[in-house]
Amino acid sequence: MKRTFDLLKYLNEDRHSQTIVWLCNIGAEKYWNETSKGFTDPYEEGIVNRMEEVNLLLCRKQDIMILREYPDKDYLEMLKRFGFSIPTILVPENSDELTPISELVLRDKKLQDKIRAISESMEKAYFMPFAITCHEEQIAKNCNLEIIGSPSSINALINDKINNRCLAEKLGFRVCEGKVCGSIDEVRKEYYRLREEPCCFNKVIIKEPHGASGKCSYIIEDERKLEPVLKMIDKLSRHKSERRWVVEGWYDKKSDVNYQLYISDEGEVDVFSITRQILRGVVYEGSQYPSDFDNAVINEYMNFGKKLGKALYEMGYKGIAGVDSIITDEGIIPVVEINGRLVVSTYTSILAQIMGDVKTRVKYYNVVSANLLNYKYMCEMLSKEGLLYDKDKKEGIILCTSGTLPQKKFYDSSKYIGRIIALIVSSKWETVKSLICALDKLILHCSKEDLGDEVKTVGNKIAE
Amino acid sequence: MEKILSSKLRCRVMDIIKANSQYDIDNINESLNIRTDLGIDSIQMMSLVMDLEKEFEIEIEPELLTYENFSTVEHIIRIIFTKKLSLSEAENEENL
Repeated sequence: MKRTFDLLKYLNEDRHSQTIVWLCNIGAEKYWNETSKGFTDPYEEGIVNRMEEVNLLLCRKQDIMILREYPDKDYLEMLKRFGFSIPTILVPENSDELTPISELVLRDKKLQDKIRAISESMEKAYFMPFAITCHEEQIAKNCNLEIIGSPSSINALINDKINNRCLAEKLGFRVCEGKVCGSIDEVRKEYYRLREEPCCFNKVIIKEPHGASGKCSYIIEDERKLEPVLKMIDKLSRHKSERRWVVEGWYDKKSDVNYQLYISDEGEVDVFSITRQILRGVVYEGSQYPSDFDNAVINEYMNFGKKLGKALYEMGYKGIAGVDSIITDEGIIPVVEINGRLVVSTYTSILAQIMGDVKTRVKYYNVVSANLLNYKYMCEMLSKEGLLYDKDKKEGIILCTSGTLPQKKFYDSSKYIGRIIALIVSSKWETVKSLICALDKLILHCSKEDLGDEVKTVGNKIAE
Repeated sequence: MEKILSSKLRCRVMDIIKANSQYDIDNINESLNIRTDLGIDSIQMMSLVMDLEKEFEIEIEPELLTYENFSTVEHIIRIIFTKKLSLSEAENEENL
């Protein structure tokens, strides 16, 4: 069947076809459903918003990338040197760190006119946002773009942990032991059921239906924590029209796995990027591609993915979906959570796939640094240690973003906070491992306090 | 009396913060920054808040849950102290 749009083909072998307008509207979940805010940290939000730059690594030359801030020129230069194509970059006027990017775009009529003009100068331009809400639908309409994905209302349904669990049950998949609870008393009762025989879980997780990135999920490791958590979830949900939670036993996993689905307009399902995830509790810290699973496991995931993709298509869903799964001693639990949108690891896993026959690890470092660490300085340090990515050898470390690096002081602290997103590449896993060890040490070294002169020296060199 | 309460409270708050810190810190003091000196991020912060609520039998309103209010050990002590004070004032009024 001929597809009207084939993202994977356009990103792999057919990189000169079509024009895609990319927008990385991380944090869009709040437009779909009522989400609890949890603990608010504008600095962290600012860093998360700048993770949009990861999207640049997927762009082709003829594409357009809308970013909230024009990237550091050293970063763009380095991406070119690594072999990436730099698209046309557009930035909304009066942009700031915290306003959702789609709102910034909708406020900027000139920018929309510009995109519309580009779109009308060609037969068709496609729009690939991170997530589709009413805002991206409006941008597509205003700019005459064909949006890739499903309507906002469908996305709201898919991005609901309660619906995810129900769908997995309906498909006959094995699900985590637990249930959906509609009251605090029911949550408490389920907690004790999961802790006692025959379940005997040491830990239990309580999840709000619409939290993202580990927010609004609580792992209870100690019974003494139960009542404080119940008090907190009760308090945070008081304003909500619907109070429901997923309560599940926490498994001793053999592996955390993520796989991606691409569901075409015609309902064909591609299952790709089956990766081993590295998590801290429920927070993503990196992934490994290709995975080292044997063929039987890969085949099982392919089958689960096809079945799930078909069911999602029947619900009206199209485009990319990322699925979190686990492998326990008893086998695979194919659906722990479905993200009916891209996730940041989608970008890096597609990227790893594009890079061809290499082994890759993505690693996140949340850094508190005594020194300001910009892209050029970090690359100079990597280069000095022989760790920087070498395009010809297809080996080394690529820092995927510049805007998230520790360049801003945290409130009244003298220290900088930021996130380093590293892609570590080699043809051998042993080399990947040793590169990671060297990077761990380097980041620790660059962040410590007695670097004054060294930073100044490199800083001067940069200024020259 | 208020001074004694305050110094006891300080010690208890600092013990709880220390237990939630990601770093091994021997000497915790009021000026330490929760994020950059103690490594407590927004997810771990929720756990800290829950521990404080349990220990001091208070409730911290969701709108107060921001790093601006919780940026240093001193800020947290002040929030807990104010909460405890308003609770005891309310109790006194009830007793009258």
